[in-house]
Amino acid sequence: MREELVRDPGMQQERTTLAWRRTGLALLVGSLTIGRLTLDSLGPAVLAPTALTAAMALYVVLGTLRQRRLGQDHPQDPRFSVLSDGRLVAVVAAVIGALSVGELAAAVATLL
Amino acid sequence: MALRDDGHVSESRRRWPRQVYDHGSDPDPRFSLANERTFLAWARTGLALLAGAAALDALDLPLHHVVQSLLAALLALAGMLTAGSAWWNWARTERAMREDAALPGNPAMVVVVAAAGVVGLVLGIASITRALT
Repeated sequence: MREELVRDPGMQQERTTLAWRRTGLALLVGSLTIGRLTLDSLGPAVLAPTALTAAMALYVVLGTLRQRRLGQDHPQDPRFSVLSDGRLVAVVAAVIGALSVGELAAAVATLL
Repeated sequence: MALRDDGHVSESRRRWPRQVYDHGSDPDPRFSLANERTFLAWARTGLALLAGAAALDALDLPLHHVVQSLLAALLALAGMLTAGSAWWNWARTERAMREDAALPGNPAMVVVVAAAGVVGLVLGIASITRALT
């Protein structure tokens, strides 16, 4: 199995790293966009949460850059894959959950 | 990540969540990577729903403003559900692969698709009504 991983015929690592990166960049853009749009209806209260979600998104992007270097140095070791466990997965889900709450609050504020 | 001499990950950095990694044994890493990519695809789907919600909230559409806000709220709720079920499904799938069990389905996604369908239907009807009057 280790030797198969070195060849990595399906480019699994590469595809997964790219998927993480574009998701991280999308999270960054989404955080800033939703932060800017909800600023009108919810006021300056959105600034701190926006900075937090943008920082978490940046963490995801930078994390993939670092993991990619580790993966290149240790191509046969699955522990240096893009993700070693569920922590970064939870970060991504949490950012989207936070953005959903903000957007829901903005929609309700517009409604009232 | 700290490694002991025998090559196992030390206790100082336990893999998380425990409900996943305390069971079974590591599957072929390629399957774990595929599971990650599926999660990330759903994550981006959730973001797209939120983009739709933000657009409905910001644009001036030929809709009653109450309807428009309700649709935006519906899309935001769908985005929330997508994020939650994407995480939940990633964890259940990873655990099932570790235990060599059958892979779980993802029932919440029917709700997400239905919500997107309702929003599309209302927007479509509004556009046609406006074009005819």
